[in-house]
Parts: sequence; C-alpha cells; structure tokens
Amino acid sequence: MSNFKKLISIIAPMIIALLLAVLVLYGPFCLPKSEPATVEKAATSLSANVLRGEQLKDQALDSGYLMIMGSSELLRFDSFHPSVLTHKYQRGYQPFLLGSAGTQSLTHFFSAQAMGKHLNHKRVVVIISPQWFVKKGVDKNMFDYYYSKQQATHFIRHANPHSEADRYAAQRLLSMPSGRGDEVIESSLKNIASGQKISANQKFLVNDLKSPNLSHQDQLFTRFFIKDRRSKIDEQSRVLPNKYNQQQLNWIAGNLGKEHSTNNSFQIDNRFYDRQLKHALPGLMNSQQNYTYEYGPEFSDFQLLLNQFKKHNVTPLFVIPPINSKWMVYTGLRQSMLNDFDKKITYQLKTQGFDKIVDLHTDGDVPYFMQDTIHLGWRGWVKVDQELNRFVKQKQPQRVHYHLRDYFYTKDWQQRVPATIKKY
Amino acid sequence: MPNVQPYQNPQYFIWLLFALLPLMVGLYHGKRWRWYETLVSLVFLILIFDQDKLSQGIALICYTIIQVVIVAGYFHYRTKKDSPNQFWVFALAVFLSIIQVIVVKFTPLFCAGRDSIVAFLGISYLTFKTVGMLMEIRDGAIKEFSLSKFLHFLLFFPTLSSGPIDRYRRFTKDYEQVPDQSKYVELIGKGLHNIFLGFLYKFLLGYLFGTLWLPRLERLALMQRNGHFLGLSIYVIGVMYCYSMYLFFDFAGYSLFAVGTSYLMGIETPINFNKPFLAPNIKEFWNRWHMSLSFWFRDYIYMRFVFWAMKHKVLKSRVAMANIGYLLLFGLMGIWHGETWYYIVYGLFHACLIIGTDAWLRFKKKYRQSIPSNRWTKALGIFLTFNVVCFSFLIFSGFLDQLWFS
Repeated sequence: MSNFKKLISIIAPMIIALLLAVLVLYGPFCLPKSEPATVEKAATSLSANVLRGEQLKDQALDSGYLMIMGSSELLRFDSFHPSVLTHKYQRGYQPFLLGSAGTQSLTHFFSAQAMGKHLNHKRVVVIISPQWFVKKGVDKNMFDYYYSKQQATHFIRHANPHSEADRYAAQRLLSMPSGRGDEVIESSLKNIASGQKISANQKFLVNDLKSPNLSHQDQLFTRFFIKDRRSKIDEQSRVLPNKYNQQQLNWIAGNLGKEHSTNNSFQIDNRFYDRQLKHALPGLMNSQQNYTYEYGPEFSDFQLLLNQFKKHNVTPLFVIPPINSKWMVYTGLRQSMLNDFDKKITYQLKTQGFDKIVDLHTDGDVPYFMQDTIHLGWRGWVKVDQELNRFVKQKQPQRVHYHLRDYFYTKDWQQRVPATIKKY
Repeated sequence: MPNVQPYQNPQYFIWLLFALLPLMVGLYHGKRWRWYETLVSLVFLILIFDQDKLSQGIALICYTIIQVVIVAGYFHYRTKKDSPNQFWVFALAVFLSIIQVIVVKFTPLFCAGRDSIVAFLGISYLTFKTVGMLMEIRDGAIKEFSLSKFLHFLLFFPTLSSGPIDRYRRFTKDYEQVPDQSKYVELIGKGLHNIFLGFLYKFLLGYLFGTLWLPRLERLALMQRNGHFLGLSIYVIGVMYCYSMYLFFDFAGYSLFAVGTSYLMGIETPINFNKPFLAPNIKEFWNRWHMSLSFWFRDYIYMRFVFWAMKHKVLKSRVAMANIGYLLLFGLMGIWHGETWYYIVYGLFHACLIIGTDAWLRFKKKYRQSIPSNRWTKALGIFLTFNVVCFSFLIFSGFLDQLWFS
C-alpha cells in the first residue's frame, strides 16, 4: 500500500468521526422525544439534571402534568405526598416535581423561563419555603449546583435589555460563580445587565453554537440519569385505603405520624431525629432566636418568577408551609417574625393580583402536620393535597390580570420593614 | 487575541489542526519548515500567556533569558580546553537555574497561599529540562549547544505545561531530521490514535470521575464525618477510588495529547503512562506512572546520590544507601508538589513502600524455593499495588486535610 493510501486509511475514520460528532452536537435537528414512561419516571425523580434540562419538562407540560415547584419538602415521600396520593387515586392530574434541597426562586425562575411557550395558560404550584428568605439570599454553591448553561443561553436569547426584570436577572446571575464561568455567557449577561442589546457576535455564539449544542446534549443524555422512585411510591401507596375519603385519610395520617415519631417530644419522624438531630440537639437550643426571613434579595428573585407567570398567563397556586411549633419553641424561632415574613410575601403576591394562596404558616402546632422541623409530612401533605385538588378542579379564567410592579426588584423592597406594610 | 490554555477543551484541537496542517504537509513531503514551526510555537505560547496571564508571560521571558545565560555559560566553561570541571561551578549553575522554581514553590508557604509573581505555567517542567542538561553537560554527554535548538527544546509548546519531560539529546536528534515518509505516516497514525484516546480519557472518563462523581462523593463524605472514627465513612473510600481514577484519566489524557501532538510535528516525545494500574509491585508502578518524571528523578537524583555515596563510602551497607536515596528522592518529590503535610506524607509513604518492597524482593530471592510464584500471586500483587496506590492518592488529594482540619 502506498504511503498516501495508508494516510487516507488513517485519516478517513477520524474525519468521519469528527463530522458525526459535529452533526450530533450542532446539527439542525431535534432528537426523538422520550418515552412517556421516562417522563413519568422524571416526574418524581427530583434529579438535578431533570431540573437543568428542557426537553423532558416541556414534554411533561405538553402532556398535562401539573408542575410543582418547591425545595427539600418535595423529597419527603411518605404515604400522603401528592405524588403518592395521585398515584393511588385517579385525580385527573399528575404532579411533576421540580426542585430539591437548595432550590430557591432564582433556580425556579431560570428553569421556568426556559419552558417558554410550553408554560402558556398552565396551572403551576409553588411551595414557598420561609427558609429561602434568609438575608443573604440563595447559597451560591447551591445555585451553582442546579445551574444550567442551557437555561442561561435561553435567557440570553430571549432577554429584553429594556426590562427591569431581565436586567435584574442578568445582574443576579452575574453575581454567581456559575454565571461568570463562561466568557460568552458572562459578556452577554453584562450587556443585558447594563441595558444594552447583545452584539451580533455574541448572538451568533449563543444562538447558533451554544444553544443547539446544549439542547442536543440535553436530548441525548438527560433521560439516562434519572432516579427512579416509582416502586417506592407504589410501596408507600399500599397502606392507603382503596377508596378516597378525606376524613379517613386525615385520621390515618395522624395515626401514622404518631407511630413514626415515638423517640422524641417534637413529633419529628424517628429516623430524621436519629440521623440529623439527636447529636446536635443541645447546641440547637435557642439557636434561632435571631433568625429572620424578612429581608434580602430572595424577595426580588421571587418577583422574577411571578413575572414569568404573567408573561405566559400562568395560574399559580402558592403554598406557604409552617414550621414545627414545638421545634420553634426549642430553638427560639419567633412566630411573630414568621407572621411578618408572611405579611410581606402575601403583600407582594396580592397587590399584583396573585390571590390563590394556601397560607399554612400558623399551622405549625397542628399535631403530625410536619414530618420534621420544617418539612411538610403526614397531615400536612393531606391538607396540601386537598387544596391542590380544589385548585385543579377550579375553572381557569381565560385571561389573567396581573399588574406587576418593578418596585419589587429594588433594595427598598428587599429591606422594607414588614410593620410599615398595610395588610392587604 | 483570546486566551487559550493547552488542551483545555475540544475546540483547542480545531485550532491545533489548522495550525499544524501546513507543517504536516511539509513533513509528509520531507521538509521541516523551521520558520513556520517557530511561528506556530510562538502563536500558541502567546495564546497561553496573553490577556490576564500577561505577567506570567513576562516571567517566562525573563526565565528563558536567565536559563539561556546559565546553560550557555556552563557549556562554554565545561567544553573549553582543559576545563577545570570544578564541582562548585556545576553546583552554582544548578542552583541558579532552580532558584526561580524554589521561590515559586515556597512563596505560597510564606505569603499566605499567594502565587509568586515570577511563577508561570509549566515552570517546573522547564526547570527539569535545564537541570537535566546541566548534568549531562557536566558528564560530557552533551557535546554541542545551539541557541535555537535549546529554545525549541525548552519552549516546545505541546509539552510545556506538564511534560512529558524530554531529554535534550533525544529531542535534538528528532528535531534535526525529517522522518522518512512511511515512518511519518506511521507517526501520524500513532499521533491521532493518542489524541483520540486522550479524548476518551480526559473529556469523557476524567469528566465522569472528576466533575460528575467526585464532588458528590466528597460532599457525602463530609456530611457523614461526624460519628465515624476519624470521619472515615464508606464515602471516603468512594472518594479514594474516584479521585484516583480522575487523577489517572485526567493526567494520562493530557499526556496522550502532548505526545500525540508531538508525533504530528515529527517529534517522538516519550510516553508518560504505561498501564500503571497493572503494575505487580510499587517499583514497577513507578516505571509505569508519570514515567518521564520518575525517570528524571531516578537518573538525576537517586542514581547520582547513590553513586556519590558509594564513591565517598558514606555508608557501609548498600541497602541502607539505597534506602536513604529513596527517602531523599520521594521526600523531594513530595516537597516539589507543595509544602503541605499531605504531599510530604505522600512522598514518604511511597519511599517506605519501596523500601519494604525491596526488602521483600530480597527475602523472596533468598527463599525462592518455598515461596510460590504463579499467576495468582501475580494477580494478588497487582491487586495490592493498586489499592495501596489509590490510598496514597487519597493522601495526595488533600481531602483528608479537609475532612479532619476544616
């Protein structure tokens, strides 16, 4: 064989490999959708890559799943968890859980804005944890963990530099290490944050190179790394009676709660108590006396999410969970502070026309309402499920009327003392 | 100009391909276009050291000038007629050539973790090359010195940041000639194979172990540290293996890129890894892991120490001399990695392992009849070596420092 032929036989496979790789990563096509079973698996996976991705969520929205945005409480899969109850009783809807420990408003905003038009006229449930609203706002490490470049490019492609919301979002993303991790994304965000359009060059790099590559990666890989909890959910649903009965469920929830919280006086689930609390207990006494959930950037981050709901005519239901009262007494967390937080967030919601709120912030003393210190469980989930059911059954208005105010993006609002707010 | 770090992402190889294509066409037709080669090297060096890395670039230029003066000066001294070949001149030359790297290595220790302003990417590897040259000049092994060859050797961009560490005489032999056509086609084949294998190692497996799994395992291990003896939960073992795999695939991948790129340029840079996890004992492991560095330490530190000690009859026992040599060698390598307890413990741990292995090999030789040697004992050896090495990498990773002291 001549040297030239040898050379060709060496190079040809590499060139083909290169072309195939470029085609798969940048080609102008969509890879096939996932099986419905994969979407079902993703609905209760709470896997970070599902949150970061796009295709699976869009598919779920299109096939009628009810998005539930929240954080660590979604991981508490007892028998009364919304995913378990809808699995047992055909309720006409199926939740798609979005979030995990450490997801807060900003993560949910970027995830929701990437859903784009798939969100149009949908119902969405948001479980607002008071714990999100610490002074410093979302933990940068946590935000980075759930950060998705794909969502960032989606944001850049659709951002309007004249909108206060988009400028604020860009500036928030720039304050996170992940937002500064990629030169093109960083420089584009800087443009948007300063009220300028992105340059033609940035547009090309983001629209034509990054975006197709990232969405192809999502379409190729997200479906393979999903935690499967379906058998666990099925197992949890077996203790439930075959026929749905509200009072009976509430009664069983109370009993199960009693059974599972025998080794402590806080009505906290035994396993959680053993693993997470027992050792640290003495140090935690009166440790939360100075905690406050009344100030900080989270209020403006949350406003971004509301803005997204308005854009797509979404009807959201907000759930404000309580904190275990016995635990509050022990750690010195003040109910009055919690009331003030509730007043501030309720004001932000209601003045702008978001009036579907399940406000449970005073229910922390209902026995077996909370599974542990801050997470809903047993009777808490039963209550939430009732409200979800009612929400889904309600007739949805053709057009929703929200009137959003840029004031909620200001430092002024973040630092506003709840006592100066009129009850709305 | 953008800033581009070597082999950092797949796009880098597109730049590389465009830059090297004319050079490869030339080599294929039997010509080495030095001016073009120089231009490509210069562009890639500028890409590494521009923008916010500019101060590093300036440090590199100063460093290069100083090394040229030292090496050329010592070469002149050593090759003039009736050279006195004084030891102190040689020692001074070596000292002057390593002083910058010493400053760089010790700055973080004395200045609260800050990097030295005379530091730049690849400084140790460049210093390894010049020190090796000084030693060979003293031995009389290097008989000719050319400024342009020296600069090409020192600043050869494919191996600049982390080796493999080539030798001057070997490099110049390749550099002076053009491989004949069928040989060069073979080199292209091997080079591309190395680069594609490198993709698998660094961008797939390295990413899997280092970016996807390792942080998760570390977080779990840190969360579970309370309530376990020394914080050693099962996840620490996970961290140990995961980090070891990451370290191997990341570095071996990098080395494959460097070697592959060199091949395309018609230079046969030595390989750096040869299935290290299949080594049947720890001595063999060091013949297979980061080979260019361990051979450098063996030839220029260990052997020279042992010869010197034998010549001066420092100790009676050869075994003791070899063992002190090992402690010196690995202690130095530990300190070279950085002045933290875990790098030094890592070095001394390996020294002890080798000393122990040596003793065992002597014992085995003596009682050859009664100790079985078959494929099962060999497999056991590989298994033990692998696990001991992974444990040493756990020390090396610094994770124990985090686990215990933060």
